[in-house]
Amino acid sequence: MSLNPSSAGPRNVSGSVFLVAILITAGVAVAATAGYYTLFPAAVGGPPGPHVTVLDDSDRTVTAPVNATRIVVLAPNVMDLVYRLNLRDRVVGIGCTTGIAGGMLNEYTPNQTTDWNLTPAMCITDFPTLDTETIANLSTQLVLASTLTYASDVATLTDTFHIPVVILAPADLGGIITDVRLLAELFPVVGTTALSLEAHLGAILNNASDLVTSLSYNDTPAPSVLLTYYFYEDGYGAYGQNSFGESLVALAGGNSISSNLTFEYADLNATVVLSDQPNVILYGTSWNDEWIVDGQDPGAWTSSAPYWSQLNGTKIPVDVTLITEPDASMIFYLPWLEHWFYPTIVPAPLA
Amino acid sequence: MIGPTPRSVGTPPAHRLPRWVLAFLGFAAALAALVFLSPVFGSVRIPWHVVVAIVLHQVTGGAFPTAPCGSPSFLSLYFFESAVTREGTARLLSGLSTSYGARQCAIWTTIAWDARMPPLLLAVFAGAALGISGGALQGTFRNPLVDPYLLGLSTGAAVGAAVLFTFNLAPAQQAAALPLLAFCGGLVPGLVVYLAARGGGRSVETLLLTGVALNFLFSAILDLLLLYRPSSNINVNFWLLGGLGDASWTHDAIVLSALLLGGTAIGLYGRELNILQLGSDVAESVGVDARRVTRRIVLVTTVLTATAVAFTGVIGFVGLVSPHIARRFVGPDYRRVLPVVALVGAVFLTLSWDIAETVISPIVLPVGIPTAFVGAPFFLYLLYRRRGRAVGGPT
Repeated sequence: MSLNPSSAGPRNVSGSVFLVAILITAGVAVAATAGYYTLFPAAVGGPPGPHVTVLDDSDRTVTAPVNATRIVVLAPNVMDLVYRLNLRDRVVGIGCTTGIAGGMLNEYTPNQTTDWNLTPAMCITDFPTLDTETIANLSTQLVLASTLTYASDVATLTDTFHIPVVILAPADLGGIITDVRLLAELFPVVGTTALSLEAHLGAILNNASDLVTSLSYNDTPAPSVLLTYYFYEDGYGAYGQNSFGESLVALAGGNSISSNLTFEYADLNATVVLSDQPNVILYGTSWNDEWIVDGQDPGAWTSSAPYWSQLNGTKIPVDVTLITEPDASMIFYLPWLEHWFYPTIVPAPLA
Repeated sequence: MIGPTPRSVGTPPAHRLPRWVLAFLGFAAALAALVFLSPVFGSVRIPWHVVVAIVLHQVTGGAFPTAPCGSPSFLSLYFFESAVTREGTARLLSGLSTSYGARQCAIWTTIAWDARMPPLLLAVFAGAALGISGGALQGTFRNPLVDPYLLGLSTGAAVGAAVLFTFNLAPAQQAAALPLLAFCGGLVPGLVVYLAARGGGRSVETLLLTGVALNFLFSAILDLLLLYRPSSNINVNFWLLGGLGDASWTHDAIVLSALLLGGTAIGLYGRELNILQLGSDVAESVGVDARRVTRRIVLVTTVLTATAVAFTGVIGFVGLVSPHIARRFVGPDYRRVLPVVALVGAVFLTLSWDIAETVISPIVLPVGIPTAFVGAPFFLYLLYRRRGRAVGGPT
């Protein structure tokens, strides 16, 4: 290292040299940037054929191939609709949490995996990051997602891989019927199946609405209800304002004791539950309590849920998917809720 | 004096390239190999020779035919496949065509080039930016434990990100606003140090401690924000660990531009940094305006680091470790350290990104985790090595 002032002479870098250097490198940077863009390759395009443009539940306008034959489903509630519309054979992948979280069995019940013929080989890791590359490698034509899918992953699928993503995330039970119509637009091949399902679901919701009107007309008091899907040391996981859980209870004629909570998914303090003494407690039980769902073990509720023995209302365990996943199964379950809320007025539904 | 001790660099034998040139070429070759081969890593396995052919095809603007995907031709993937794999050679000898269909190749091209190349190049450019910033700051402050984050740039940027996460913006707005707010947040502490340096009469230790104090202040602000809205914790924590997965070509172009501008500007001060190692008084005596050099280096490294961090999140240790590795190869002469440290930073972050992508694939780790696993032990090594010297070791 030469530090001898006499050999090279001490100097400071002048402002003009500084400026010239900046300008030269700026030019190089612009040229390099332009070079990058000229190298933009043609991305994987979908197969040629008719396309349809739809507005999804997140108000996104999506253009997708009509009757896509290779679809990936990233949420169990969406899979429920896909199955009911006889589209199962088109599903090439499903979203699964990783092995860390129990894999497929943390997202799908044993009954669902059997009924829907789901296998671990179909699993695409969707937590904590979505494996978008595998989705692309499956030659996927359409992804059906929920709001749980990160926006950045949706952007990768649509912008990088040019795979359309339709988000199905009903805000209330009526939104499930909207989703049936949406899928019917994407898959005209389902034809009358969609119309039949839509009519069936609509009829159940209309009956529920009629029941509530009738009860109100007769001044029948509505039961107070706690709809909870997990518990913790000091409280219960519950549904707040503008949630589909609140909509579920209201449609069945109940008064949710958590409806004044600000957030959609909110924790309700156990002392509030004790004080309110709800007439009916619907608590979600799960099929796998090894990791994230300790509070959904049926035995754990009775032994560990706060103030459980001091709650005097009718306690009814329900499959947690039926109160957490907004899909057709949830609507089909509505008559049971009506029966539990008004056991002397509404008979138990036929199996 | 803390920091690297200047020592004379012997004249290399005429028949050999100087050591620093060898180091430069070696790291450049390593980086080129990483750029060509890193797209192999990811949840979808793509044969390495396919990746090489795809990258060659793209960087030559199509002059190198990929053709894997169909008709075999010279210098095509078919050639590669035949030449480098036993299966390919067997196919060639038996007169069979390539095994990959056009559709598969198109998908692989999109995955290797469109999906994997932008984050890879971001690792290269951000690593180089952080490396050269670390090298310049260590030289300016004459302290081998300085890195861009010690001046509070990371926590400043994190505060910018946390401010964003406390507002419930739409995803598209958030994607656009995050780099901007993080950049602004990162600029603040650097500019405060810059303004303090302008004031004059302050030693480099005072400026350094100003940065450290700002670091603590911004940490407190960050805690306050997270306390105000706990739900933003997960976003901020992810951001604090660094990630390259959301990179785009636009991000690459911005960071590359900043790197070219800032790197060139810093590179002009190599000689002044050498003289600064002898102390401010000596520098002034030979006509180097130490305060002006310090101000400019702080300003440029602040902009350079804030630009990189805005798109990558906080990635620790690259700016700390890279200068030490570079100095090991090329000695203390900053005219040689600065270009090499950029390459070292790029190689370090690119390798870390490869590890992050593969270690528990298909889950991609935040890239700050592998850099910390390498950087933290190295940092401890430096600390104990310095302490050993302080109690009587060689200086």
